[in-house]
Amino acid sequence: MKNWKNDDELLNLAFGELSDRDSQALEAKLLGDSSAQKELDLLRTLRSDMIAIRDDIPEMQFSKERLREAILSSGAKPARQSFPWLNWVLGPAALASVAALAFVMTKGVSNREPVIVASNGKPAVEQVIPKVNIKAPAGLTEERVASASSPSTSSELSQPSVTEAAVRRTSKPAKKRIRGRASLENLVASRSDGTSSASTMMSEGVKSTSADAATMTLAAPAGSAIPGVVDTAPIILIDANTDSGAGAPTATEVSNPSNVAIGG
Amino acid sequence: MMARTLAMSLRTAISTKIDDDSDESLVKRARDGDYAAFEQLFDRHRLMVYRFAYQMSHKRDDAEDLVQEAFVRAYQNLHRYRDEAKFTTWLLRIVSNLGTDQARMSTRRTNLEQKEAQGALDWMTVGNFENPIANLEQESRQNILRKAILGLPDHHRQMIIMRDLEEKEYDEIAEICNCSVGGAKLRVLRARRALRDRVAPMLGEL
Repeated sequence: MKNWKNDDELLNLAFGELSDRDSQALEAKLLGDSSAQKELDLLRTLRSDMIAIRDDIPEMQFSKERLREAILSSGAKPARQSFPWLNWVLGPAALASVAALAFVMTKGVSNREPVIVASNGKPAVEQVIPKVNIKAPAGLTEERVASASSPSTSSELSQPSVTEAAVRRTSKPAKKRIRGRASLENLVASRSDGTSSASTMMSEGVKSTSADAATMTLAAPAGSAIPGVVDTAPIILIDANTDSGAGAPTATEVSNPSNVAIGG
Repeated sequence: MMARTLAMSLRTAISTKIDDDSDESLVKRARDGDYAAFEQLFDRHRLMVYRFAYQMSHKRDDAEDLVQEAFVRAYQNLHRYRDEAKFTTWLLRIVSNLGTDQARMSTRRTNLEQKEAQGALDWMTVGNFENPIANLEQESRQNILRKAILGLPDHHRQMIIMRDLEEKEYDEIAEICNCSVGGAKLRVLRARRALRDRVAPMLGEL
């Protein structure tokens, strides 16, 4: 068999895979080759034996009842036709839902300033409060100014004060932060006057303005100062040197804030 | 005119009846929960499945287990069956996949000796008593052949069973094996070569 140059043809011939014409041609070719003939006989015997054992099968004893029990025990039930395309719809929808939930959980807390709603239920009205120029009380003396100054106010004085701020006002009046000894009455009087300013106050003879009066501002919500607005009021600097007469630190007025070094 | 109408309605009824009895319609009914339709499919094809399973294992218990497993899986996966292929092809593909299960094959191999002992007993009790020598030779060859088929690798054995024992056409074998017709022919040829290489030395000893 191994000597036959094309044993696949022998196999095909023995197992009936060739057409009649090809079979006759091949058999004619094999007539002079005894070893190939012997091999062909062997393969044909093999083929006949396979046909003989084909039906040598014992009777099956597998019943419908056994199949029914097997199906019941396996918990099988006729599966309905599935809809695979539904996965392509539900999958992205689920992903989008998860992404939206994650976004809400991480970025849900807004950084915007909360809107204060009036307690009487009316909508909040945005109101721009004009600059308030506070005139120092007339009875304010230099001694009182000097004694009222403290190291903590020096840094506050060097900072430009808020002159104009847009605040959201509620029905309750904005809380006013008043530092120093200026009374509420003086504040009301100065607001009603409305014309005098801190510089005017300085020109009226107060050499060293009270730091308390200078820092008297209207309280505004944090971060509500308008950026870029430069305070035009003079800046009072408190020196570390004490006045020999009064024994308190001296103060110097600076009109241009560009030359002031904070913390200096 | 009336006779023609009658003939047409009769023809329609017959074709409907045929369609109702087809494998595809039975599968459709079984999908819809009609278990009787599935039992009808079982009745129709269980012998074919059993023959294939028995040729794979040469043990009746194993073959019946294989039949059971194949029909249970077919029932579970009826929704996967597509009408492009024949139901028998799809069923034989399930059996073929189950037959290559290594655990099952190892179990069968452990029982091989018992089967051979049973085969020897059969050889001693059946046959043509008029020519005992011829019977002896034939039975010996067939035993050798069975042994050789069982000893083949799974993929070769399946090809021999499908083509030479069950006489399936090449296009059906190609569908079962999920290959082309040419590929199926090549697989069968290789399986026959492997079988011949196993059988030839043993036949030479006779």
